[in-house]
Amino acid sequence: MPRKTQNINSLSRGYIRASMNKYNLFNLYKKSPIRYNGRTLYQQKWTSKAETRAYHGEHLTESRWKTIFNPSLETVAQLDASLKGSKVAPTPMALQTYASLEKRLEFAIFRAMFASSVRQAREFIIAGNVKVNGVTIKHPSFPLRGGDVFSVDPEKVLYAMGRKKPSLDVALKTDTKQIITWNKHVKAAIENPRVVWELMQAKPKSLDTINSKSLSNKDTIKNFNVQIEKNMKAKQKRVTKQSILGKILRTAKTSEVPVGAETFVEFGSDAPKCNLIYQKLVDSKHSLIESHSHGEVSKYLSIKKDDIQNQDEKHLLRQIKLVLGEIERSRWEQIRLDSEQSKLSSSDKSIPFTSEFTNNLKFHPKLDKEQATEDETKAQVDLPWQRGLFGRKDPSKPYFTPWNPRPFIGCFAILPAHLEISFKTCHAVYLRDPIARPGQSEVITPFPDHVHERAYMHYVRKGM
Amino acid sequence: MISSKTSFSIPRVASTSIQQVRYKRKLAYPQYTHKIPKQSFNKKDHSSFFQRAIKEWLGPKNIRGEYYRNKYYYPPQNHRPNYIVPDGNTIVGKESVGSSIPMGAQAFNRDPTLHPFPQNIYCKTSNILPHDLKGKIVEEVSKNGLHVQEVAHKYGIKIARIEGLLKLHDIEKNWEQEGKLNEDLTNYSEVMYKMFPLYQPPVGSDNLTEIPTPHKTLTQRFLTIAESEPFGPIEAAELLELPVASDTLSNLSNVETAEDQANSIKQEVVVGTQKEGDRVQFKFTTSKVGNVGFRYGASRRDTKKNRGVGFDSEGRMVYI
Repeated sequence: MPRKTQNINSLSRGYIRASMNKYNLFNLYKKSPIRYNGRTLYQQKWTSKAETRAYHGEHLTESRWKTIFNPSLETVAQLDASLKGSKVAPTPMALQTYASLEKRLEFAIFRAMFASSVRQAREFIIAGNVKVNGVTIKHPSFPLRGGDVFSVDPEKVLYAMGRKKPSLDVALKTDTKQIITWNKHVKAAIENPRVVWELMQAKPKSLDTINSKSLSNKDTIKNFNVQIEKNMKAKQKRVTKQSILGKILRTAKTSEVPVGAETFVEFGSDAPKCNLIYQKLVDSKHSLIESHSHGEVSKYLSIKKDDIQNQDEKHLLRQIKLVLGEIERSRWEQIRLDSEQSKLSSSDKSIPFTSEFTNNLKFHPKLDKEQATEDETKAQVDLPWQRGLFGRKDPSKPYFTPWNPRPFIGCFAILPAHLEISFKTCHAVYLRDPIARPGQSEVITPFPDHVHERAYMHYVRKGM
Repeated sequence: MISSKTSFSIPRVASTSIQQVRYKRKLAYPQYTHKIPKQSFNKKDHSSFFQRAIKEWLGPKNIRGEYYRNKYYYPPQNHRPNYIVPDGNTIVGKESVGSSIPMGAQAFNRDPTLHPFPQNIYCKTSNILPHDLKGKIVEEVSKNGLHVQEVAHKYGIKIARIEGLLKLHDIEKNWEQEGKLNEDLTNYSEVMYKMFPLYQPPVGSDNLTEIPTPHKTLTQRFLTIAESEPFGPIEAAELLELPVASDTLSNLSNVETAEDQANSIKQEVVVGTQKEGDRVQFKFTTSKVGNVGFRYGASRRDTKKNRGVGFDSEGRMVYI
């Protein structure tokens, strides 16, 4: 039976616990250093013991802990110390005071980050979700030895390290709010695309490292430039001899004034060449002048020289093809230059506005709350960043789906040196008992060595 | 400070009635510079100082219920841990009240990407082995046939860790074949993997010359010697009755072959053949009186407090 407790993460008491709770994080954050001035040795020892015991096995009664306590502190000597020549850092021996707890199964599971607190690790063990070397162990005090493989049911690990699953009510409320906000955004974007675009650009970068798709400025610019290159290639592909000839003939036919070089203004510097082609066709009274559908134009240009008997026609076709080739090359060059100009340099801060971004924005239909409350699977949510109800994509799971890490996990994620962990399979190997070496202690503890020294003195009772 | 406002003060009355305060509990007020809003004049606002303090510390919530501006809310995903720095600035984009860390709240030389706790620099996070390095190690052992000890020297990783790694690799392979890895689990393992610093040898490699500190060296020894008498590691080893450190060091780097191991393990086994028609098979092993059965007159552990406990092969707790 664990020790009974009340208000374990009391903010006014401010003890640090072996837990990933956010209140515990605040307690750790605001922890002031333990001061000894003006206190008797016994008071110093008592405070140190109280502080450290609140973290190391607070669920064990004091008498239980006293039987576990081992006064011999395990350290290592580094034989190459004299070869290195430099001064060897001191070995924090006092930090080994609570090392004998670390071999207990409950602690190993917490240290391997398969449970969010030691008390939760105990629950997992007692419920039969933990195996050591393939055998289910139901005793949190099971002592591990070097080489033991322990594992926790992955569902439990995902539950412990994942975000809290919202209730159906909360999920529906959240999604209703999200849909309203999204629809407001879409409406504003359609009405004032430029304003919304600029607001989006000015928005500070999200801190979300898991779900946010926002890229760094460098990557955004790179993606933008890649898109431009793609568009350029597609445009160049569309410009062919056939398309140019067809366009020349169409422009000439729709022209109201007599056809001259100025008729083909849209071709820019190639206008005289276009006029030349047109005049040549007119001079030869070619049938294409009257009917110039896409099929006929491509048919004419695909005729081989040898198939034409008439020498003049042969000459005409060759000349037209030659000039069209010149125009085609210059058009391609023009497209390339245009796209080069519109590319962004790495020093640019924002992406220029395009009205196309509103094309993909669609209003989301309202959520039918009553229907969703009756049958959750009928709720249709399809937002750009979320499919299915908020955190309840798979309502059968006990955690937030799709899986998201629990809040503030980064502050508590400490990879222990005495364990080798496979997160993929929720298995870990207990390599050895944690030891102290020059400059490092493998026992994970928030307290400095002088606090542990006094706690050790309290338990060893002979002084140090 | 608030502490002066809320701490208990001794009423100063006549000098004849001095009241002694034996136990004065100080509340754990934050020491960093803070600007915590006062209780509103709303009748229903019963929030305590600490409730308002943590609310301020967590920052605003977004629609999805995330403290989206708190710099510790989301885990780091660039192999660079982001452990707490107790300077009072947790909200990104908020005007800072003052960014000094209270005296003693953070140890000198502390690196927040390595030391998880501000006051204890002896506690460090370990490095995680990159996926490709793991693959290489497994290949060295299984395909190239290298001894674990050789691999340990090559990559600067302790033997126990390599052995553990090989065990876990087998389990992972089995799981992949059995199709036990689902999307959530892969997602979880990737998030965890990206949270820890990567092992990049030779930086952060293990010291392979470590041995458990001999207990004889933990106590003081006094020896009177002449001024001209030489005294070095060999003499020290002799005095402490320990093997010389240089010999131990060279022994550590010797690769133990399978033959050596076979020679070193001496297990006494008595084998008896089972005869035809025998109903039972007897196995003879040597044992000592006292280890088997009860010695007459010896005290029993089961009558004492804190009885020794052990576990049998099926994981059941048994008294020993």
